[in-house]
Order: sequence, then C-alpha cells, then structure tokens
Amino acid sequence: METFEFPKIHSFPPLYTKQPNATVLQQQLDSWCSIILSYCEYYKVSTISTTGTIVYSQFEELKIDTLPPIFENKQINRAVDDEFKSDIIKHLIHKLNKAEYINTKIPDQGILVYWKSLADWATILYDFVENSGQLGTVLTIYELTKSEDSGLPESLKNLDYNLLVKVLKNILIKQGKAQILMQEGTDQIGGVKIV
Amino acid sequence: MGIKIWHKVNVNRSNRPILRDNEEILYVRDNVGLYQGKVKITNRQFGRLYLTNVRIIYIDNIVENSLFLEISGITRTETIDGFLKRSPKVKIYFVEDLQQDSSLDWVCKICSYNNHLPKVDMNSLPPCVSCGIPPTRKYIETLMETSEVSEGRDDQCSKCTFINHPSLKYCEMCGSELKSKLSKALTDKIQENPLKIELEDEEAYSGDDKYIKISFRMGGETKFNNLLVEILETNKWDKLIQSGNVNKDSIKVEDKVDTVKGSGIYRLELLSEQTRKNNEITLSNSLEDVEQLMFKYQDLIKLSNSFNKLIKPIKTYPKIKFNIDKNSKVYYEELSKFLSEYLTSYKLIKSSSMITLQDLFADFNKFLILNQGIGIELISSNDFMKSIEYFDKLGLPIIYQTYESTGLRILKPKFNENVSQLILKFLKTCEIEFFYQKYKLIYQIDKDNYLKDNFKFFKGNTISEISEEFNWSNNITIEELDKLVNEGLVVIDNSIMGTFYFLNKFIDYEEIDTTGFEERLQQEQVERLQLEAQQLKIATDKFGSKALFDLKGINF
Repeated sequence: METFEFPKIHSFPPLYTKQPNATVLQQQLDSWCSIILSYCEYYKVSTISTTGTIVYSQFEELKIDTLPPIFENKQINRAVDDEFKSDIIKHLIHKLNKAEYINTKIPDQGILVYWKSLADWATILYDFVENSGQLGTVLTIYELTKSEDSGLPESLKNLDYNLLVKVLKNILIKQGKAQILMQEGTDQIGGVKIV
Repeated sequence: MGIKIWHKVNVNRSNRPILRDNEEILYVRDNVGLYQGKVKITNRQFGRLYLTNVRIIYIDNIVENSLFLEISGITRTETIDGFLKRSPKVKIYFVEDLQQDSSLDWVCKICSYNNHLPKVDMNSLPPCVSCGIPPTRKYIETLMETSEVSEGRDDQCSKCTFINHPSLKYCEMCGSELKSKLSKALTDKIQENPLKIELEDEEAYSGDDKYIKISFRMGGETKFNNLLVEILETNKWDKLIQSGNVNKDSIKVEDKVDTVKGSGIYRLELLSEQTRKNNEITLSNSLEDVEQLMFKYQDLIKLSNSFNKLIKPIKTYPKIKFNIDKNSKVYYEELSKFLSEYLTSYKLIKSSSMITLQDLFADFNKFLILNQGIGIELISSNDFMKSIEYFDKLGLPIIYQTYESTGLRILKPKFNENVSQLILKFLKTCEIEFFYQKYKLIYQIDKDNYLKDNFKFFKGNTISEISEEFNWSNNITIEELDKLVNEGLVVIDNSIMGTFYFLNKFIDYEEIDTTGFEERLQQEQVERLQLEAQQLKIATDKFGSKALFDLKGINF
C-alpha cells in the first residue's frame, strides 16, 4: 500500500506552533482536523489515541507501527507538542463533531474518528442487510463485519466493533430500525436484529 | 700583583659580614660576580655584594671564598652598560701599592710631640696634632731614610728597643708596629695567593691602571656606583679636613646652595626677593614653554593639513549652534526643528524608516559630538522630550508614535508607507526568492548535499532579517510583527531554532508558483551570455586593433 501523501500544508513550519491569533488558530485547527480525517480515511483508521497514534485500522494486513505519524514531519524537523495535540483533538470532537470518545469517562481508551458520518455508516449497514434479504433476522457481529461470502461490502469489512456499536446505538436504534441482544453476563453485543 | 687588593672577610654565623665600628651597610645586591681586570675570577662568580661606608664586601655562595676590598684604596669608578648577554658592570680602579708598612713616627720640632703618621703622603703632610705646625718635607724624608737603615735586628722594637718574639707583629711593651725584616721575595711568596683566587686566564688589564670589575647580573649597578662615588667624595672631603687643608667655616660646594644669609628685616627682604625671583624664573620659563608649544602647534596643524589630501573626506555635517536661552519656548522650538531636520536628512531617509526614541537620543548626541567636537553641551533627556512634543504643534514632517502594547515610542516620517504591507511584501519576496534559488539548484554542483539540506524547506524569516531589511531596531520589528500576527496576516513558527515568521497560509495553502522560474532562469542565462559576449567583443576589439597596429611594423 502506498504511503499517505500529506497535504502540502503539513510541510508548513508554522502549522506546528500554536498560533496566538484566535482566528488564525481556528484556521490552523481546521487544517489539522482535515489532515487527520483524510489520513484516517486513507488508511481506514477508525480509532486513534488522544495523542494521535493509530489504534485500529480496517486494513488487516496494515502494520500500524510503520505508518507515518500524523503530528510529526521529519522533513522539516517539526512536531506538535502534547498540549497542542489535545487542543486539536478537542477541536475535532467538539467543534467539528467528526470524532467521539469511545468512553467519555475514560478518554484514554481513544477516540473514534468519523471521516464517514455515523448516518452514512448506518445507511451502508442497513442497505447491506436489506439487499441481502436479512431484515428481521438476528445477525451476529461476525456476520456483519467478518463474513467472507455473504456479499459483505468492502467498506464494512473489519469494521471497528466500537464504531459498529455507535452506529447501532446512536442511529439505527433511535430510528427504530434495530434491536440489540446482549450476551448474557457481559456487556458485549451478542446479536443484532435489523428491521 | 693586583689580587693583593682583596682581603679575607670575617663572616658571622648567618653568613653576613662582621662589620667594624662605625661601619654600616649602604647597599646590598645579589647575584654578582668578580673580575680581576679583564679576567674573570672563576671561583668568585656567585655571591652577594655589600657596600658599606668603608668596604666593598663580597660574600660568596661558598662562604670561605668571601672577600672584601677597602674603599680607601679606590681611586675612581665607572659603569659599563650591559649589552645583549653581557651583564652590566662597575669598573673600580685602585692604587696598587698600598704602602702598608709606610707608617712613620716623627717628633715635632716646635713642641717635641711624638706624632704618628699611618701613611706617608709627601703631597699632604698633616700638621702636628699638638701645636698645628706642619713638618717640613725634608725632615720627613730624612726620617724615612734613617728609619730604613738604623734597624739592628728585626725583632727589636724601634721605639723602645725591647726585643720581642720574632713572630709578633706589634711590640709587647709599647704596642708600636714591628718591622719585619723578611726578604721581599719571601713575603711575596707567602702572600702570593692566600685567598686562593683562581683566574680564568693570565692577569691582564686594558690600560696602565689596575682595576677590578663587579658584574651585576640582576642590575642595580648604577645605584651601587652612585653610592660608591658618594662615599669616595666624602672620604676625600674628610681627608681634606683631617689634613687641615680646610678652613674652619668652609663649606663644601653643593649643587643647590640657595640659602639666605643674614638676619632681621634684611633677611626677610632677601627671602621675599628670592621667592619673587624664583617665581619670575618659573613663570618666564613656563611662558616660554607655552610659546614654544604654540609654535609647535602651528607646525602640527600645518603638517596635519598637508595630510588631509590623503585621508578620505569626512562627512561634513552642517554646523549648528543654539545661542538661545534654555528656559524660553523658542529654545525647544528651535531644537525641535533642528531634530526634525536631522531626522529627515540622516535618519528617516526612506519612507519605511522608523527610529526608536532611545536610538534617536543617543544618535543625536553622538552627532552633536561629531559635529562640534568633544566638550559640547549635549541635549538632556528632558529637553529632548520637550522638543519632541513640539513636532506636532510646529507641523513638522515627523510623527511621534507610541505602541500601545509595550509603550515603545518611535518616530517616523509623516508620509510613512503602510509598514504592514511592506513586511508582507518582503516575506513574500523572500519566499519566492527561496524557491527560485531552490529551483536553480539543479544547475549547481552540490556534492556534500549542503545546498540540498539548506533548501529542504522554506524556513521563514527571523526578526533580525526583517530589521536588517528595513533598517529598524529590533523592538520596532517585534512591534510591527506582533501587529501583523494579531491581524492574522502573519503566522509564527516557534521551534528550538528560534522564532520564524511566515505569511498566513492556513486558509488556502498554496505553494509558490514555479511556472515563471524557467523563464526567469533562461532570461538570466541569456543576460549572462550577452554580458560575456559583450566582454569578449570588447576584448577582441582591443586585441584586434592592437594586433593590427603591431602588424604595421613588420616587414615581410
């Protein structure tokens, strides 16, 4: 797989310094967020840590360690410091609503990056279930994300469990299109019924 | 034998010489060596020299080798300066024949008092101690002759006829000196070299007079010589007094004898007269000197004027003088006008120029000194501030401005360009220039990748670079950049390397357009080629015509 080509602004030294001017800072944060989103989309990364390291990618064969770091540019010898990193992540979560903590109480678990909105994910999921004629049947998580020969679309393959939960809980259940069956004795989802 | 001048010296336990009565040490010098005439005394080279009022004592590092020399035997001295490795020396001439056994007793013919002469000097015979009548020369001569002949045995005292033991030097009865009748050759043999003086070579002197030399390896020879000469002088004087050749009230002539004699009012008058005279001498001398100095000064001025042509011309500033009462308003108005004039002609030449108040104050006072020389009255900060405030009132083309954030106060021309725009333009040009240079890299040899590393990415501009471009002080640049940053037009890169300023490109980042570069590069190359061609043409023209000229002289 080809390495992600960062946008040109990633080589702009002032990008790595928190700008004093408020307006410029907003622009700067926007720039960073768009870099993160395109980066995550390219590598199909759904979860990153609060310090910007990649936690989960849909590409199974991808070696996460070898990916270029987001907040660093070795070419120009610049890196974002931790304080500014958390500013950028907060901006992504609260201002742009393009990310969410997996668990708001434990932010260190990482954040889900929504380079594709939850609604979009929900549509894809619903379309898949509908097209495969499985509406009303109980499907396991495995069937929804790992199944090899059930016509599972590429975009859903290896979908992050945490992301799937968010899609189901935040969109489909609220729309009344899905029901969740919990595994007994755990907080893990055992099966999903989409209607 | 000149070495007979040396005597053995008695030394006390702490290796200092035992002094005689009334003898005192006047001068001590370490690290000296002795010479007999021209020849070095090899075993007397490392010692300490004591000058007393009677003797010159040399204490060798090996104490047994210590010697002394009677000052009474010295006739004159001179110093020899050191040269390269040769140490400075003092040359001491002495009388060779110290007539040790020349003492003589004579009976005064007037009062029949028995006088004793320690040394017979025919030129100055001392008078009789009792009656003060000197003996005739003839009488002494006859006495000397008889004393040599009349001796019977050499162990019998010539005075009291008591026969002493032959080894005694003085009579046991009357204490007078006994005259030893040992043959001269024998005594010489005994006394040939009792001090074991070792000479480097055969004893030799330049000239007839016998002398020794004392080598001062650590200097100090002049002082030694002066002291010695002084001692010799006093000795001579004392001898004169002793021999009665000096009148009772006579005074030795000193160099500076300026005492006033007399008493009472006459003396006072004389005293004041003398002071007046002294004053007069001093004054006239010094006035003469001043006059001399003035002449010299004129010469110097002439000389320096003659050099003027060679010196590069110094910038001449207009002469200004404030002959106005400082308390009046006019003074400040004039000063303000003058400041404005100074600023517009020297400091705020470009429309982008700015200067801080501190810099102006310092520069202006420097300018005053340059202009009117040291000693000029400088402008005080109070006057300076007051006159700055008049700029506005007088409608002068200078604006006095304070930056709100830091209170930095600056002056700039009234028709100042938009500084922000200038900075932005400069930043832009720098960036374009950078990428153009980078573009040109492909044509440059860069074996160690120095240029490549340097042109990796555009590093932005520092405060000092911007200050230099516009000739501002750094404070001004900081203020102006802060303003731009606050406006969001310029962004900052803070790294370990320092702070760098960039144009804001966060909204839509675009790289420098390189499409024009190829054309520009070609243009430059074309220009260079044209220039080369032009030079070549000039050269060929010159050379060609010269060749043609040369050809004319050749006959085929």
